[in-house]
Amino acid sequence: MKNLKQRIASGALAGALAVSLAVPAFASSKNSTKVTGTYQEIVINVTVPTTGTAQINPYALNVKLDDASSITGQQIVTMPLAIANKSDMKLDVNATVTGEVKGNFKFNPKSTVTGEDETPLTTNSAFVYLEMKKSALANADLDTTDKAVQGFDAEKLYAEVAAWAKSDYKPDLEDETTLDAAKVIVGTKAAEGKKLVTLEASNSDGELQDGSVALFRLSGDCVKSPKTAWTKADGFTATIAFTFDVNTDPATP
Amino acid sequence: METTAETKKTPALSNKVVIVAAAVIVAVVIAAAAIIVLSGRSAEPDGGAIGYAADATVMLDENSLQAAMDEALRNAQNSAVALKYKNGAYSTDGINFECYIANSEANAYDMYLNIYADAEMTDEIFLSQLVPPGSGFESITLHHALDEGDHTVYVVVTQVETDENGQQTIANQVVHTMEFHVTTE
Repeated sequence: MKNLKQRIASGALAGALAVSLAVPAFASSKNSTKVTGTYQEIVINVTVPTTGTAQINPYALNVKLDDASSITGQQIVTMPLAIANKSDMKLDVNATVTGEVKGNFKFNPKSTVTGEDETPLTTNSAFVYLEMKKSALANADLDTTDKAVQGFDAEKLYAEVAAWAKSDYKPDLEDETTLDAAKVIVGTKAAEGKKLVTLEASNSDGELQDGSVALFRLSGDCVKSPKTAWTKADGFTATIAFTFDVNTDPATP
Repeated sequence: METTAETKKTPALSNKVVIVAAAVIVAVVIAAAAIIVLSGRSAEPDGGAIGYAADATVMLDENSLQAAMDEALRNAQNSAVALKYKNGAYSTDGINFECYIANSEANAYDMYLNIYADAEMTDEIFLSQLVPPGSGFESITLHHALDEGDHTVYVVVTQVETDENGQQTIANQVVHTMEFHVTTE
């Protein structure tokens, strides 16, 4: 009898507990705000220059862009190339580069400039890499006239390109610490570079802000006097495929 | 005898005329076919190779170098391509994808798209018709299915200039990647 009373009492308690739990659950269900989280893809809105031209310049001759600006002392010379972010989000720029050779040309995976204790290279080869740099060009430098180059005031673009000094990149392939992830070494196999530069967002009207524009170029060095003389038939083609990732890291400069 | 001789010559002459006429007709047909094929393909990449790359040749004297740069700068005046797209495209069957790829209203030319499944751009999975500025795709159907998972694809954007005679030539080409995602429901 005692057991039965205890069973009834514990059953009633269990029932009361269940009811007391059920009440707020129903209340919660009736008054809840349902939030459905769906990821919305950002529309990427960028301006990219098309087919670029580079020259292999074994003697590092100077070349004029206009009366005021020249590219000096570079063995791989690239025409001015600018990329602009018109999206309202910061973008990381990544690139995949695939090279193709012409004539006797060969890609060298490291600098062709040899040390005093090394045997100088004599092949028709060059060390070529893709690099990017933030530009000071912004909305005020856009040009809608037929004198514009890639949409920018040509003089200002040329001045920026001329001021971009030759980088002295000489990685040691056996020492990873000397490799720069923001420079993509060009070879005949596709090579990928991550976060070459982060482009600042444009404003809500799509106007470029400081840091929304970057310059890019193929750079490097080449053998000045190969065993078989350089000819115009020697050269390469580098196909650059850009990847733009939205950068949500507030700490990224 | 002369008559006989002339009579014998006549069929030979006729045969020559027929052969020459046939040759002319064949030549005209071949030429016409070549013109049609070439004009139809003038906006396509040359021989399957894609020419949107940084092309470098050796310059051994200052004049050649300067001339090459001058030409590059002239060509650069109208060479920017505005890209407008969403990075991700989504499918549940690997063939039909929801996406957003537009020919930006900022562009001056119509464009078409080739999409490749590989970085070497040998496996074409989509080829579009011409798209005018301000238009684009919210869904596409691929040539063949992609497996379940995430795929980086290579999108070749080719701008096409059409002259007053309707002749189409490639104006600009750029390449960017997208992420194609295939999930089963």
